[in-house]
Amino acid sequence: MGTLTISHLAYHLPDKKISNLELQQRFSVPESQIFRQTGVKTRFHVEGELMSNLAEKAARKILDINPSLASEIDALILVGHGFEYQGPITAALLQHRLGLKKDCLALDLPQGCSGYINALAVCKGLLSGDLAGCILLLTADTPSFAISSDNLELLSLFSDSGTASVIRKSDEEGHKFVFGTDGSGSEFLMVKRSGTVHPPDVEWLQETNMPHGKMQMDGSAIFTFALKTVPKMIEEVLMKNNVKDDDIGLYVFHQANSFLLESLRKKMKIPHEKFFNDITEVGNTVSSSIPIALKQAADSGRLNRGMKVVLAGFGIGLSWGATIVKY
Amino acid sequence: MKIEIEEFTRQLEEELEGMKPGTLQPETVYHELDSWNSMYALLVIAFVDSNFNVQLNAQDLKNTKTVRQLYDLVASRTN
Repeated sequence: MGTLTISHLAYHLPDKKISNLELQQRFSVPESQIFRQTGVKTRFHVEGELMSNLAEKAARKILDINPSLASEIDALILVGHGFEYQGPITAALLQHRLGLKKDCLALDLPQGCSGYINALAVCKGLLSGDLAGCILLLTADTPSFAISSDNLELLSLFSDSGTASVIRKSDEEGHKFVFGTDGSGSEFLMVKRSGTVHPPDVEWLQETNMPHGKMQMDGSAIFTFALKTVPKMIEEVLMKNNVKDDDIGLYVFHQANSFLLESLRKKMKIPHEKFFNDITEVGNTVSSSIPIALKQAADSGRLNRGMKVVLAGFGIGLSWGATIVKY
Repeated sequence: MKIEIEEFTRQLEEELEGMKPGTLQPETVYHELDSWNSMYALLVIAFVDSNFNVQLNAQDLKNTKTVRQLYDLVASRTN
C-alpha cells in the first residue's frame, strides 16, 4: 500500500498581533509572568475575517505561484472549528472561491488539536484507495471568537490562523498511524453554548455578547492527559512504523503550550535539536499548529526533504493521533 | 520512595521557579502560599511525573494540603 507526501505548505496569520505588553496593560499582570506561563510572546486574532478567509489566504499562497495545481486537486478537506454554516459545508464555498474543478470531493472535518493528523489519515485512505490523486488539505480556526475578553489564560495562548498543504501519493512504504479518543474528558476543553445543546439565548447574549459560545479549559487536566498519553503514543508510532529514534530527524508536536512541550520533551528524552517548538511567536493555533510548525521548520532549515518526521496531535475531545512522514 | 521528605521538599522548591529558598517546608500548606499560582500546579504535576513516574491530577493536588501529604501520596503510588 502506498503512502503520502506533503508537496507544498503555506500558512496565513491575521494582521492583528497582540503582544504581552498589551496584555499586561489590560490585565495588570507582568508580561514576564504571561510569557512564563505560556511561552508565547505574540498571538494573532482576526478582525472581521472568518475561518474560510484564513484558509483561502493560505491556499492562495500556494495556488498563486503554482496555477496549474488548481486543476489537479481532486479532493479538498477543511479541518477546524467555526464552520460558517450548518449547511452547506465551508469546503464547498472554498472549492468555488479557489477555482477548483467541479469533479472534486469536498469535506469539512470538525477537529481540533489532533485534526491535522486525523485529516492526513483520511488523505492516506483516499490516496491509497485511488479515490484521489492530489488533495488540498486546509486547516483554519478562529478560537478568538469563543474566548471571553476577561480570560487571560486563553487569550494569551490561542491564535487564529489558516494553513494549506498539498498532499500526494508516494510509493514508499510505511506511514502508519496511532489514534486515540476518550470522550470522558470532553469537558476538559469545550466551547460551551456553541451548538445544539443549550444554544445561546437572549439572556446569554446580553450577559456575554458571545454568539459563538465560550471556550473553557481545565489546564491541569489537559496537561496531565498529555503527559500520560503522548509519550506512550510516540513509543507506539515508532514501533508500528518500525523506526528507531535515531532515524527520526525532527519531532513536530501540536504546539499546545511551551511549558507542556518542554515537559514532554524532557520526559521522552528528545534532544533540543530534534524537537521543534515555535509557539513563542505564533501561539497555539489549534489544528493549524502542526503545518505551521512544519513550514517554519522547513523555512529555517531544520526540516529538509527526505527527513523522517514524527507528527503528533493531542487535545480537545479528548483525542490524540501520531504518524511518521518522510518530508 | 527512595528520597526522604526533606530532599523531596528541596527538589520541589527548586522546580517552582521564583520561589524564595526556604519557603517550602514539609508542613507548608503549599497552595495557600501568597506566591502560589496555576503555573505552580502544573510544575508540581510535571515534577512528580518526571521524577517518580506518578501521574497526578488537579483533584489529587486539591486533596493534599501540605508538602508532606503530597509526598505521602506520591509514595503510596510508587509502592
